[in-house]
Amino acid sequence: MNSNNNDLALLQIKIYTRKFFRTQKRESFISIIIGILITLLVMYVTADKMFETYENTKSGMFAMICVCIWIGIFNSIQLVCREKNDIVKDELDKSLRASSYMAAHFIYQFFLCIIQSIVVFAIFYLTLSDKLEGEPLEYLITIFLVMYASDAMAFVLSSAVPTPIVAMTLMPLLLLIQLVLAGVLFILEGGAANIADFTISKWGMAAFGKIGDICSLPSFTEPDTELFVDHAASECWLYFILFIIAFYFLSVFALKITTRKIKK
Amino acid sequence: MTTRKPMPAFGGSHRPAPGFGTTPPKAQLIIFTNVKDNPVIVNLKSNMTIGREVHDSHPDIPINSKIVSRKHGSFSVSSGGFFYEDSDSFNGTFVNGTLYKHDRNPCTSPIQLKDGDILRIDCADSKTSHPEAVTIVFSLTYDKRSKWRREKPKTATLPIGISNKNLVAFDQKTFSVQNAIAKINPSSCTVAASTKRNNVFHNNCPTSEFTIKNKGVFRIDNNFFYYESGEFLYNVCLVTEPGMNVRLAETHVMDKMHKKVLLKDVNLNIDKGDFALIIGGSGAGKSTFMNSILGKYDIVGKITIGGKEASGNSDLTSAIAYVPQTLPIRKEEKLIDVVTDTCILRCKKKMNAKQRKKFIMDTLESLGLAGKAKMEIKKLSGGEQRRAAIANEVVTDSDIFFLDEPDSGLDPKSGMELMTNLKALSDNGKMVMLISHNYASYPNPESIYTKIIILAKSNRDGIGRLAFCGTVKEALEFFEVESLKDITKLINPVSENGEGRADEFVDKFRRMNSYE
Repeated sequence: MNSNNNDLALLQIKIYTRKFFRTQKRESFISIIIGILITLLVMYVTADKMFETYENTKSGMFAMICVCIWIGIFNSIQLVCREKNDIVKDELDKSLRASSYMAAHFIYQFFLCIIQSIVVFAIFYLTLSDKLEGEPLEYLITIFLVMYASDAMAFVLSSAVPTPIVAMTLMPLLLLIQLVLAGVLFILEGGAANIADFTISKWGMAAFGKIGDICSLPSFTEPDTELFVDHAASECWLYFILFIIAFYFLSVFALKITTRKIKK
Repeated sequence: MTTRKPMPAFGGSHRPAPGFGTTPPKAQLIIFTNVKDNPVIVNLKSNMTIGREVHDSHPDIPINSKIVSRKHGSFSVSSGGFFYEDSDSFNGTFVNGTLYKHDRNPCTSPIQLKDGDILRIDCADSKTSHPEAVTIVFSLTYDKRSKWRREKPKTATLPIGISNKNLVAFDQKTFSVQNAIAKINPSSCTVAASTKRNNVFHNNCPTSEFTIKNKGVFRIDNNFFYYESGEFLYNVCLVTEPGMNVRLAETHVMDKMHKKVLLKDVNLNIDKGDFALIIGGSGAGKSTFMNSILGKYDIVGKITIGGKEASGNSDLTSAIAYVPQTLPIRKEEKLIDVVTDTCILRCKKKMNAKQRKKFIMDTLESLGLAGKAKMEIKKLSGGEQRRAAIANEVVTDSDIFFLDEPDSGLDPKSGMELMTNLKALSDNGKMVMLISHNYASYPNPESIYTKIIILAKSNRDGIGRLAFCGTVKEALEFFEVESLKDITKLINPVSENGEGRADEFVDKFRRMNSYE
């Protein structure tokens, strides 16, 4: 019985992944183009002074992290909520599992994020050329994981809200939390510092800072030591993977809760 | 052969027959005129006349036979049961072999009928049966879903039983391996019972051996065998799996921490092969009723499908093919991709890729969509999109189909085509239940729908209730109207241009139903 259930779950994942590859090609293409444009814009503004001083490099890296987060959120913020009421609710009633449905979304977005992160990294790498400090592959992995974790985070919101309008209204809030709680723009203390541990932006900055050895740059300031020195890039990547897993389960839970019964 | 004493006349002090209570149950007359035509089934109502229809005589049950008088007899019903009275007809009426005729054995008072009684109109003085003789069976237990079959044995004997060796074979558990043998003579047939397990009835009496003339009838269990010129016409009671049994005391939702009742007291059965139409005004609870069965609402009561409890059984409810008002398909996909995915995920049949492709194309063909298979759904017309959503459920090979306004937005011609497609599903043994507001635009609803479910919003408390469940013909009789569209006018509230009589019919149906 369990093996039958597992077979069905795997079949559902396969069919829905194939479905998303068929139906999301056009908007994924748009998403890649927009990603290219904003990366070019950010690099045009920040590339000149990156890896020259600590402050400029920190700002440039933070802008890159924000680009990755924005691309990730933009990828998935509407995907579930736009078809939840008319289609997904009906399919869930007819034996589709929320976990299979979300897994198929996560698989498709995995491939999309790989393409996007390669494109973003290519622009980042080519723009900085010989100025870039650290292993290029490590930057690529970090860009991918930041983007994919943001994508997964937006799935939680998309699964929890009823319509795309609500999702797009709440999206700036999601971005703002990532900007403010990263600990880059402001030094965080107390409760806010604890909350920051659960932001993608903080661990993205920590990984970038470590890979680029930002602490060795001129005008380095002591208060950021903890962020850029204490955590290895691989540790940050592990946190991203944990985030992605947690966001997957949260989005499944949110979808189940919001489609459980007819609401009047 | 049995004879019976005439019963007291109407209004007399006769005692009700056992089991009849205060109101007689439903009864049918099965009228055989010849072996080539299926018998005519008449629902017996109070005070129906039987006779030959000519320009100045219009009996309730017309029979086209020269030997039937214009006013041959009459059926009546009282709390005591059903009665027949010969109206001094020229040829009289045989009741279980006893002739009642004005000049020989006058029918001084109505004869009380019991289940399985045989009435026959024939020439009394002839030894052989008249070519236009008529045989009528009175039945309280006839299954309307019975199929009629013919058998003309090539040999002189006709074994009847459960085994495949028998020419007339039944799947019914009540039958024995060989129940009886009929020996065929030129103008008659001798029947011998082969077992004591299941009696063979002649003139409604269990008889071990008897001879019937041409156009005679005998009975085994609830199966009637009509004999004429070496050929038999007999009914086969379908051995059906249990369908859907709904005993819905209440459907409710929680609205701002308060329980809001949406639907109350809906008790009905829907069988496999039924094509049930749900009608009712706005707020009567039509979609709520479907969603209650689908497990989307909290209910008080019991719903069984195929004998299994459906409430809380998601395996059972998820197997129902449901097409809601809003089409649950991704419109940017190609039709063939949508139905193929659904078929792979949800179809009960085990098929290889080639068989699946054929099954899908056959389904699309039957719904007139074969030429659109490679088109994106969003490029199809509104009607085609609706049919695409239906095709997406048909490929699951489900036994039960629920459709919420599938003909909404379709012109009458397209709507009728859709009804024909859905009717084909029910003809194949599927249970089809749909909500429609356009039913009045389709001709001959009685030939489309086998059952009609009418829900009405009560004027007293605003809760939807069952106002009727039965055939279209029964519905027209129940509401005393000419067409279905007049029913909604009767039950709709005055504010919706109706007559506001919902509660009257809900109460009337509940009284009728509680008796049954």
